[in-house]
Amino acid sequence: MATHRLGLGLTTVLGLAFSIDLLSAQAGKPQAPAAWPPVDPAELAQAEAKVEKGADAEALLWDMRVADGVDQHGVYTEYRFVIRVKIFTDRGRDQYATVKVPFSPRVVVSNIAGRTVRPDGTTVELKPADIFERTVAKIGEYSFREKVFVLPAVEKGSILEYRYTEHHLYSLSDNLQLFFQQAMPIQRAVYHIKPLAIPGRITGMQAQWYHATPVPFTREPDGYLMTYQANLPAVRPEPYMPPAAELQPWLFIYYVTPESAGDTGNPAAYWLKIGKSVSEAFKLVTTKLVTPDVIKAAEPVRAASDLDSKIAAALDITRTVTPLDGASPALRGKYKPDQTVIDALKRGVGTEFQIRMLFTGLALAGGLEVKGALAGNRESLFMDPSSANIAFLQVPVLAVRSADGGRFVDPTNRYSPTGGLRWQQENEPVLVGNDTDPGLARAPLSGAYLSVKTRSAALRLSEDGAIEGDLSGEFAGHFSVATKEAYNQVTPAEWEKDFKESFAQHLTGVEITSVKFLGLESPKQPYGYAVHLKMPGYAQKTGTRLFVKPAVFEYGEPPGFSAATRTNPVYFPFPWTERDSVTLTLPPGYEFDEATAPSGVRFAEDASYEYALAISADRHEVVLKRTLVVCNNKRILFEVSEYPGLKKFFDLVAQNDGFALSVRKAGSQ
Amino acid sequence: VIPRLPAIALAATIAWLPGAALRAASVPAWLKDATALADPPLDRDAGAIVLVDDIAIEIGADGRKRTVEHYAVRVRKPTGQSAAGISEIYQAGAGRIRGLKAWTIKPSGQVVEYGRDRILDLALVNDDVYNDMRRQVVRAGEDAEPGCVFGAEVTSDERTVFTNFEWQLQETWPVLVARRSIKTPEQWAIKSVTFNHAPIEPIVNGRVTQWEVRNLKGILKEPAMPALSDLAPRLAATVLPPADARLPLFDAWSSVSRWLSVIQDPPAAVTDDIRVKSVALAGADMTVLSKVKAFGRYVQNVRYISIQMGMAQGGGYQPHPAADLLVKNYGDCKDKANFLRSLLAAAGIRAYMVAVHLGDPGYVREDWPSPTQFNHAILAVSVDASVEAPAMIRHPQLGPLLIVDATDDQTPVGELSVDLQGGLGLVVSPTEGAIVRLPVTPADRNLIERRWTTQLDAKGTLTGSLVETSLGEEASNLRRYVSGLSAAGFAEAMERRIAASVRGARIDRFEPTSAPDRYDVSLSFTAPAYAQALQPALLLVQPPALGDDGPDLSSPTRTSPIRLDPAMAKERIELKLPAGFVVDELPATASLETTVGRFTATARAEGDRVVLERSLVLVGGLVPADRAGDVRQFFERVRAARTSPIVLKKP
Repeated sequence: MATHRLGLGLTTVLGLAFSIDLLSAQAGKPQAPAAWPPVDPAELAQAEAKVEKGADAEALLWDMRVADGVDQHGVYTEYRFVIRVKIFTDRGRDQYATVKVPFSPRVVVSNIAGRTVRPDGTTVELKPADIFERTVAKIGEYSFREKVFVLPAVEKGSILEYRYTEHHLYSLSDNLQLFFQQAMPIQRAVYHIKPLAIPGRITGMQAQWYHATPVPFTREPDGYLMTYQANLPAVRPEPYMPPAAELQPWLFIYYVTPESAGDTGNPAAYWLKIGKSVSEAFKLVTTKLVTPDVIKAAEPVRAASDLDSKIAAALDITRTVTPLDGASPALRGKYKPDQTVIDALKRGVGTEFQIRMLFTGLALAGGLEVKGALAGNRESLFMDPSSANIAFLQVPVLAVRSADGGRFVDPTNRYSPTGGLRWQQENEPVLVGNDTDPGLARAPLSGAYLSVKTRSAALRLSEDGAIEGDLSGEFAGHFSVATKEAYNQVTPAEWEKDFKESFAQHLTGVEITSVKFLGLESPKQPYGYAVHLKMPGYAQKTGTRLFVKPAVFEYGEPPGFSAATRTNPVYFPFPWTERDSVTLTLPPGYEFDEATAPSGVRFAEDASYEYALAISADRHEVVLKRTLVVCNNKRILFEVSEYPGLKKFFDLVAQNDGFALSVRKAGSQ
Repeated sequence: VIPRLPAIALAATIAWLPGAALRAASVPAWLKDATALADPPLDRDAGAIVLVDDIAIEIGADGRKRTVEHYAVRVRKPTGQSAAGISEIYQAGAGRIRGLKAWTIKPSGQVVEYGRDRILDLALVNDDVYNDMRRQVVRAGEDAEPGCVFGAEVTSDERTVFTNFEWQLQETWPVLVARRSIKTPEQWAIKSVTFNHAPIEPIVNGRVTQWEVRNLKGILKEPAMPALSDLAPRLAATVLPPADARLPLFDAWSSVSRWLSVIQDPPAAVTDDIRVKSVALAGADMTVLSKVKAFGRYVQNVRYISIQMGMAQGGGYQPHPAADLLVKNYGDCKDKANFLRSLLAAAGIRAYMVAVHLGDPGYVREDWPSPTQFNHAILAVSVDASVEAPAMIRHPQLGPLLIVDATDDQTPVGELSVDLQGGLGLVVSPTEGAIVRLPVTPADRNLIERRWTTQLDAKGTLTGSLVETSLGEEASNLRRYVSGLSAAGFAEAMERRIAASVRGARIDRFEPTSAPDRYDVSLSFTAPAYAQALQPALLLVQPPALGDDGPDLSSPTRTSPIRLDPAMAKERIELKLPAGFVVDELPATASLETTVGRFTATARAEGDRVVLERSLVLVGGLVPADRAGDVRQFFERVRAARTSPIVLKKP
């Protein structure tokens, strides 16, 4: 079970330092050691996991208490864990007998206790001297620490149990996702929740279930509300799977204030209200935005003729400002927290908020209508508009309009030539700040022909089976954005090393030279590369023939999906296209045998693959044209029942990519 | 854990920290001088060059040390950006870094000075449950444009019992000047020795002894290269305090052994509980060897957990009492070796702790007696002369000894991991301590044998079975790999591995069996549309071929020797042809015999079947850099032979 906070919590809304004498604070203080609950002999005798056969370990109980409170420092949340795990194998012992509890400066970890119940029922207690605290990293005043302990005498058949308390300062359990599953199977996962009540400020707490059969809350004598889920399998990653929040059972808890009471029951009214709030907030931050300096800077925007060119002109100016997160130390040194958007423009560095506001100012001064908007993030959650909670819309974007029409713009998406949304926001609801209507729109999903890998190669085959020649590639759309953002995380030297290794992974013994990269730091130019390649033994030899695979870019690549079965739906982040063109020339005196090239493959209307070979009249050269289009009709989520068909499609693609042409010496039989 | 600390939290925090101040910083004179140097002609292709690497140590009469380090590196190219930085190790509690100052001087003359907000303090070893050892790091790569000079000045104090110093004088970058000096109290002596380089003679000036080396060429990182510690110059010095200094004197291996035995013998004490456990583990009529194997297996299965405290006082060499391990069922390498020693002692079997260096058999050098050369502890068990096992050595004084690594739960007692083979170890004893050479296992002990029985149908579907048997290091490697996987995970991994050779293969049956001396995998599979129809009457079949393709030697140049592990692989593939098809072409017979190894491959038609047999023996050891082409050619020819296809035709 893990939690994740969405959006802004009430700590932000309420402030951190208010003082209300409601509850006496006990959290974080040493608690009298509680007796361990008795161990069921049946559990001790259990030799096999119940939830998932063959599991290395199984949590018999994963229990967490969440309680909010107030003390002299302000609000806090206390999490109290009790965990009981049955160990079935040595691997389970190695994986779960060491416990690490990381914590940050505003968290206190206390009341750690643990013991091991041996298979014969005897117990070994965790000694306080065997609980360590280590500073993982420290820089200036910031430090990241963890409590570490190893449960003693753990062996196959043992039950280990431990408990600890985390006291989070300046925290409320508001907008909290409470997940039930873990890396190991769980027999019973329990949450006990004790909300805070502040008359006039907090009137209650709401909970929403996702992907679970809800278990009604039970009120416990100590004031906690308890719910649970049982028989939870372990979380198992699969390639191309949806985010955890779309697969696992979880509970969403959030506070209700007098202002938000009744919101949940009427999503339409809720979004109208929130749309107005967003609009008011946006007006507030943009009221004094269009200063004479901004108007002066926006001259190219005003001069542009239509919506797209005005946006492009505003982006050209905005992109001279480097985001603070990722700026060089020298640029970071110029940044001032209280700087205006014009300061950001002059200094060349600013926060994402300042970049967004600079674009807004320029667009407004250039004659465009701009509204603030909030979009979902489908990398973590597919937002459902019937879930009336602004926490599900996390990403600020802009809705820009002129007489020509309108579109969404994310000025912080630095490497999108048009300032389009990142793939995470595409196809997600977007709440546009609006005074009159709910303003909940859906961002369009870009088509497969926007995110394209275009690659070409001109290669010569030698008599010994080696190939040599020039390769180039160009990535557009989301591929280009993702590549450039990845480049920003490493040094140029690391990038080149990783790039070369990406070839060597599927082309054994390949030699890559004359590497050139294009557009890596350019917002407008797509990412591209050009290399010279030499690979000995590319073609296979028999006594009289050479066999050569024209699809060099796919050589040695495994099929898209290797597993015969699938547990989770398949989810592609965005539609895409691959276009390859390969020219292969034979050594003098050799020619291609007759060949029947593989045919095209389709998967319903969702994916298509074409493979076309053209052998020259003198049989000395072949040209391959290969096109793969995935999520053709903008469907990116496929149910488990569709997996066999999808796998078959990608298997056939891999099979055809592995097609070999036979080459002989001219005139030989 | 609520909320989990995001993995990116630290990186994000660092990214949000204010930039290093660009100030008219007070750059020290030594760094100004280093910066003023013209870029030297040494190794001009290297991305960076170390201009100054100077460490000066002053030892007090009580053994306390103060170290002052000056370091300057010039970045020449973007590939050298990572050189701009410094990492200083210290032991929390016994030492501290008193001051760390660092600067980047840009080609324009602009100076970036790094304050406290750019010094990262990290745990030295992240996997340990607890470890005193920490490091402070300044990373200046993002400021390091080509032409800049990064410099650092570090002052640190340490209180330690060790008077041995070892410096690797180079990482990978070329070095213009590397200098070390030690200032001792009166009457103290110093001995030094150089490894991987011509002897660096000390210059003695009063109480200061100084060593200096210049113009070290850079070391390229290359695949299958020996450990850097076997290539870079290393300087080792032992300071010999007077007898009344109350510090250990490491002037000979016997004194190192004595010192270790003083701290390692008491924790091996046999308690009643140990005696009871020893009796419980030993069968009534077990031989000494079978007792060693039974006890060894038991201790190898004790969980490895590393808790390192008091390192500067020798804590890194001192095991926890064996009785503690019996209760806790966890410990580190020295704890486990000591626990096994105690159990054996309870059964009347004598065993010695052995200090070794894991991961680099060439690391420990006999001509420098020092405990600091070791990073691992194993055991040498006295056995009778009739015992035969790959891990046996015969010592002139101590007699036949069976080397047992109580930590390595994937290598059975009687064998030794390749990471230890051939290295030097110190057998610890108050009176009989001795340096010994650990045994090397011949290639045929590390055998992997595969037998494929397959059948092709006219549609190109390949079905069949594979029986794979691994022995020696091959079995240990497989056990190591499998230990991190669930049963289902192993099956999935095996399916991916088979599918990498037999495209589209799906495993129908999977039966792994681990025995103490071998690892067997038996499976059956189906690969639809595996063979390719070239024309209606021709089928192209790629015979299965597992095994690796050797190290990546694609670079046209090679500067360091190539390290190859001894190994042997045999493969037999039987392919039943589809009805109506006959053989048109078979892979050619291949036979290679070089100093790298031997390879043979044959293919023959037998009725309605094709039988292919392959055998590969790698001799192992170090191949000189100038013979990289031979090694590359050997593996290329092996790969070409292994991937050579079969052509079938319908007459």
